[in-house]
Amino acid sequence: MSSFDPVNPTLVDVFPDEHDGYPDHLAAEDTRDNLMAAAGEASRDFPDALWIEPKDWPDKARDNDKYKTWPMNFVDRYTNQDPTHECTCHSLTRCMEGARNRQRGISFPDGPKKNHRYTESAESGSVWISPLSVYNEANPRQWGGANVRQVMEIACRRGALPDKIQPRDYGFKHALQGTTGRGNNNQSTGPWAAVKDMPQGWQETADWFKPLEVIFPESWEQAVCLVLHGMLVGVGRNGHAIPWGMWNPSEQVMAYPDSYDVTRYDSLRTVKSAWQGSFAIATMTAPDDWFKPAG
Amino acid sequence: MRLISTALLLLFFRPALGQIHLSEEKITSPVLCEAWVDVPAGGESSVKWTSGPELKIRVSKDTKHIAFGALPGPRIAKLIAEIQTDQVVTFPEFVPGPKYPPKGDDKTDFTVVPRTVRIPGQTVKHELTFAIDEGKPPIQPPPPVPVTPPGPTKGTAATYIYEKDNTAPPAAVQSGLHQLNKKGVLATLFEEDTKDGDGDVPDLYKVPLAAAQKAGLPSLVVTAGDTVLKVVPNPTTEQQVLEAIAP
Repeated sequence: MSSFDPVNPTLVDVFPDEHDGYPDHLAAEDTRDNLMAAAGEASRDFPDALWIEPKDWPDKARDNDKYKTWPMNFVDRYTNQDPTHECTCHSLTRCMEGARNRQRGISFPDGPKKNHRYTESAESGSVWISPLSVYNEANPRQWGGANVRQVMEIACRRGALPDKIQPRDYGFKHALQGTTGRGNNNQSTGPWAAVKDMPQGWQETADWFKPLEVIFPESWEQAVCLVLHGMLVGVGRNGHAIPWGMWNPSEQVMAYPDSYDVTRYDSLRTVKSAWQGSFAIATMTAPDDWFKPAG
Repeated sequence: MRLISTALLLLFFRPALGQIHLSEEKITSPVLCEAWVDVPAGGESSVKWTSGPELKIRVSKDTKHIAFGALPGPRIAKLIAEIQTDQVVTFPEFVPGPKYPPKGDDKTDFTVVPRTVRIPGQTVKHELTFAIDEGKPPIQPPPPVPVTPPGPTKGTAATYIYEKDNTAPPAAVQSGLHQLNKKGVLATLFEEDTKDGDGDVPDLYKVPLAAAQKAGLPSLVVTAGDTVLKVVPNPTTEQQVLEAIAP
């Protein structure tokens, strides 16, 4: 995986007409101020120490290629939400998982791969988080989507549950199916579960999977810098929410693991128009034992 | 097991002495033997036997300690006694029972177990003398066996600790951590303000965090359990991370 590789143009700026997980009326609420308010104590401004001059982006990209430290390298699975409206939560939970794996010090050389499970996922204690466990509170009606503000507030307040499918047995007391959509070999699927239907006492497990520090960029360049530093940048645009995971200096596109078992790209034009509703999770709650992640 | 045919249990009821004798016989094959002796308070008993994997000795509540010795060899006093003999054949191992010292009217059984089988065709005579002392100083134990000091300890964990407002962990350092993880070392990033699900500093990071805050952030802290082995201030290369873990 090289960030300088040419990309398939059919995968750039793909916004399916039928997708409506991030409707315009909800997207309008995702201003930077609203998102920071939603994150509460977790919200952070962009630290000056993370700034990289745009002229230095190619060198930093080469470093990431060499050392496998792109945000995409901290993502060990795709999810598949088809045909649900859960995109904001698939994007959010990829950001949570990526941040957690970055803390864990493990990277996956080729990023997510369809129908593939890395042995390192089990060996390192990677945990897969259920998007449904956040979406069910963001939109109790199931259909119609949600915005970043809603799901960010929920995750920062009470965390999320692990998926019922994990790379190894962690002995979780509480878990939830990942999606009511298609799912895949690394994501469980199941019926709709309202918050009241979640397993009793679920909050004590969800506390262990919560964003602690969330950075909100003030420019598209800052968003690129966050990606260059290995942090997925979650963003909603054009009816769909996704996590930016690798900047391509040659093609000037941003790669992301889309919640349809595929990697796609946003053009520079899209990046410049979408960054205002973006965020990067800098840190997640850490376990006392990486192989007993919920204590 | 079979008992030796001659009288085995001869108990002298003199206040300070008890004895048990086993017959001497020429050993033609490994023989199991069991003998019992009751040793009164302040008593002394000796045991002489020619064979057997076990010698069980029962002591009463007033027993202070047991001394075993083989004549004419030295006497050794300790709860777990190794019987030394001048016949290099058998070294019984003495294991006290769970009730030593015995309470009330309880009695404690001790099992003395030979470690090797006696050589057939040889006549072996061992006499075991043990004494019950009251207030006498214990016999000095044999000098301790010299222990080779352990070698330098290799780290089992490496933590890069930083404050995100001031530092972005270098890609090379992150790669180094990944390499260490592949070698079985728990190598992780830890941002200074990170908490666990209970809102506390994770147990795993309390010691390295304290060491890093003392040394200054960012630092790579190498630990083995709760022992800090090394602190590398502000590492920037993969090699610095990999070399930090070496003993």
